[in-house]
Amino acid sequence: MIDTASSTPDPLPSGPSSAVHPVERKEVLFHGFPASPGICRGRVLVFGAAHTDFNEIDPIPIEPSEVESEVKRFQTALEKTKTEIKALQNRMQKTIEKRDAKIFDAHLLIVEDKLLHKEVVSRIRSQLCNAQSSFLLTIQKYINAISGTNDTYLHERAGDIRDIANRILRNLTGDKDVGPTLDNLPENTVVIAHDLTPSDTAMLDRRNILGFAIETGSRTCHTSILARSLRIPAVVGMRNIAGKFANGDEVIVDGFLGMVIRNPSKETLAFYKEKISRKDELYNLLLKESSRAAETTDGYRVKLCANIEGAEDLDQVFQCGAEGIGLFRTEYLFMNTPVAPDEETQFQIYSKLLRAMHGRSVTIRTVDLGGDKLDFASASAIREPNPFLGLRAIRLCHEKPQLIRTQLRALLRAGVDGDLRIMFPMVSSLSEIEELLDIRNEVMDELRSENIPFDPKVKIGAMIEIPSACLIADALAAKVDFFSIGSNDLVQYTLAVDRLNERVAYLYRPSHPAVMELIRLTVQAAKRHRIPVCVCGEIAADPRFTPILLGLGVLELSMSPNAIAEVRGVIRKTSMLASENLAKIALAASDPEDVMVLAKEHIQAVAPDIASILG
Amino acid sequence: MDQTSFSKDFVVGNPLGIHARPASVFVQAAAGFESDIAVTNLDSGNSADGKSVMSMLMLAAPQGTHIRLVVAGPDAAAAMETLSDIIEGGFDEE
Repeated sequence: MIDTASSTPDPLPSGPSSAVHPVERKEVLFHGFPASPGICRGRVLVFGAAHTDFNEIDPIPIEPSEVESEVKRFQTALEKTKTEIKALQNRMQKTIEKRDAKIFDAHLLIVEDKLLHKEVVSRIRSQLCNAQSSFLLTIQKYINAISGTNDTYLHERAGDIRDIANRILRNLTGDKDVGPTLDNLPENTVVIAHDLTPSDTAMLDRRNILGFAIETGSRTCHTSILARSLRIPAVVGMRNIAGKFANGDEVIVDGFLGMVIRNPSKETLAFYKEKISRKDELYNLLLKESSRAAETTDGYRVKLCANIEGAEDLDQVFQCGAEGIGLFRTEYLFMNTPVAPDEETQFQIYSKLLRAMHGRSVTIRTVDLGGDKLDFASASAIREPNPFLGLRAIRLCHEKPQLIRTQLRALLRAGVDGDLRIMFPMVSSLSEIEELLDIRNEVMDELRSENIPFDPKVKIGAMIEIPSACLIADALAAKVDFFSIGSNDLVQYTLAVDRLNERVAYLYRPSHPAVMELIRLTVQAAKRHRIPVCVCGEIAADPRFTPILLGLGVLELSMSPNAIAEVRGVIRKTSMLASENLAKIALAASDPEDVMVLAKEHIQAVAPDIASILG
Repeated sequence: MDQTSFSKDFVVGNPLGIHARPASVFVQAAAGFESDIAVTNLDSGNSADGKSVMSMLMLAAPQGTHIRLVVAGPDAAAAMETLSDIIEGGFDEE
């Protein structure tokens, strides 16, 4: 068993300067894997660590006459907590998956638990303790029971109970500083944990989190992806660190080098201060170039687009100078809802987005979910042993024909409001595209006969993310108006690696020559048929890959808005000639790692400033 | 009233053990039955009311814990089937 932070007497930080260490602690360096670039300095919050108040509680006596008002106060706090959780649950539904959202059901069940309620109320009545001490004494018993096991995992998940206990306590006392919950962190917090679940990360208080370091994970795990999209530094794969930190420790997270420094010395602090200001400067400089064309030194223009999930991301899209939306995901419209959104609701959303983009291209992907993720479809949902290889996305058009028809109607109607492209995910064979085009034609006939205005010229594209689609790209290209390569799934399906599975995640190599070859085949087929091809996966957002992709013939990239500045910066320093050379080497490489080394060297040579912020 | 009762032993299979989320998956299902539902941690001897999430958490059962599920009541057979599936399916966790 590791030495958990729960045994240290440090109080939780309520601000950057609240930690008081009786003895000066030495600087200690911990190594992990860099997951998200950036550097931050803050105070540690060990997720799952005990709140000291839960360990040393004195019963606060009350008069018999106060019993009923204390009981009432406790019940009011529970009600308030329930309302809060439901609001949080609603907010989170858009960003996390159904399975992960179950944590809120758990929180609600705890608040509604009869046993907990009974125990607290009987403590108030029989022992004449006030509401919060009765509650704390009760909850302490539960937390101790869980912490009493020797199981690290279970220890950490006690964090869920602390989270909910702190929430109830805050509502009982009205004190905002009672204890942190993940969605209500102290200022300048660096979260250290064994692991953060997708629901943990989705809840994180984005105003106050500066960075995090976790024991599990890889560069491709959900936490790393989130960190990069939030632009906060993160280090993952740090073995046994949670026990080495106490709440309130001062810490530096270096997301470039994959290092976490506890109690940094004056010299270290000065060094990093200088480093941080240089990077901020560069990033702002790159942002200033957002109106410049993404053009190589030898004159090749690249179209840079943004991936977004909702209209709330539009400000960022404009700020970074994206030329369009390369991927608008529609999954959140269909998740955690008892009924599928109707045509009118969808039409309004798509139309608003198109109008906001003022004629710039917008690619909307039809719903890309497994049947199990659709609440309203779940009556017939079967638990699939291999959901990634199962009934999902366009494959649902037989079992749920109305799903795709309604979405197509709404999209075609919205098409009159801008430059819309419709993209079908998970295409694996020609007949699927033929079938979808038939459905599109039927839907257009319907709209025509109903005299509803729509745009018959809306472009239809195939998402290329299954190796079979790359290998028949010529046949597909003859049928569709554009291709969009979804690199995340393409890598996953080509290499047969589940990138969320820590044990095999090291095999997830986008630079694998097989992946490069499939991209090349797809681009060549698109060129022969004179249709555009875009890359919209993670590699499109990784400046190290930019020259290789250009060299393979990709002249359209779509990525998270905040990655655009760096990618543009690299394009403006690179020549197509050098890019084509890099692509040739990548295609012939025997080891994916060699390709990455080369790609890094290239950036180091042409854009050392950008290389320095990539770490 | 028909007081059929069933009992079955399991080993907790999901890596994180019975923490808040799996406990609530179990409790939500258990709440749908009229029967009394009890879960015992055979390693520690603690027992829990299968319809209370806090009680289930008190089992403090990490992966590998031996547990016994006892259901008694009019719909005991159906309850045993549903709840067995949940436990054997790793509480719907990865």
